[in-house]
Amino acid sequence: MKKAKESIGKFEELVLLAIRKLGTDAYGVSINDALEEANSSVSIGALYTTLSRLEEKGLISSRIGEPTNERGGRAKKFFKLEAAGERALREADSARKTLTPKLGFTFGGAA
Amino acid sequence: MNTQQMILLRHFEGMHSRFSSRYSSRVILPGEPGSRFQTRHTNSHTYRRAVPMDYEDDVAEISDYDIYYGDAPGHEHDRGPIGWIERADGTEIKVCETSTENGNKVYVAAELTESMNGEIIFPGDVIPPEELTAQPPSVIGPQPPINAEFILHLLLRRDEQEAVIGDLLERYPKKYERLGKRRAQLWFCVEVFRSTWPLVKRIVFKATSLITLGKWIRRHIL
Repeated sequence: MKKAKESIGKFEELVLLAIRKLGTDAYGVSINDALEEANSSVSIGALYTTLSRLEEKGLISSRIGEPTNERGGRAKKFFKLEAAGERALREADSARKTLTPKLGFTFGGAA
Repeated sequence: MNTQQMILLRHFEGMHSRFSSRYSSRVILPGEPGSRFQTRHTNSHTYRRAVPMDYEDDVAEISDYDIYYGDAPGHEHDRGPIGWIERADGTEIKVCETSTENGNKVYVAAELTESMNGEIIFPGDVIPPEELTAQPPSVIGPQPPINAEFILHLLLRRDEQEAVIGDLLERYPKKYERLGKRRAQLWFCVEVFRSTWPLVKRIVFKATSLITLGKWIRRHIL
């Protein structure tokens, strides 16, 4: 049951990877920029829907930062990858590695 | 020569300058021979800015953001942070912040802007403090369409409102700088519109889940 709860979709995996890459600076804009770099840009609404879903699953946690002038006095919401999130990423990675040889090709070009 | 070039030339000849009528005894000194600076003197200070000598051929360079301040070309310059200020008439102007010899803050237009009443504001024009809105200029950025922001307020959860709208507001000035006012506003509206669907979907999903749960309770428990 717990395992099923932690299963993640492709976009969720990308968001988790972006949060892990950004470390302590992971908030809406920086996550969106990281996703844009990976050609997976989405609207801010879709991103926050995914983030709240991941938070409900316990894969990430959030904290509110300080309000800043450049954001019209609004605070940032920072996200942090939790242990369950790390585990979910590892499981997704190992599932991919297990399946990839059976497909008969490797990702990222010839070895 | 296009209209913008003609306006600029007329300006450089020293005619119809806002700067001259309000501030200075001596307004525009023509670019010194061999110099790439346009010099302006006011009662209290001197501005210099990078201007190509052959500005007729390269008007774009005139509106660059290098506004120099000092007694002689290359002597000292102060390129303050670029930001936006809003005049009382609602015109948003991109400015550099610089200071006079007395240490007073001055806002200088960084690019050619047409005001709400059709007046041309030239790069290098000082924006008189009495024309500013009461809000401190440092916190005024270009303002996105409020209606679009309101739609997000309606759809977002309370704990998400600040973060989501703050994220959009943070990105908006960068788009404004890159795309201009109209296209930046369009970007903002499109972004809000794109965000609407996943948010509506979430609300509908939660509502239908509650209805289904209610039906199940009524059928099996009550």
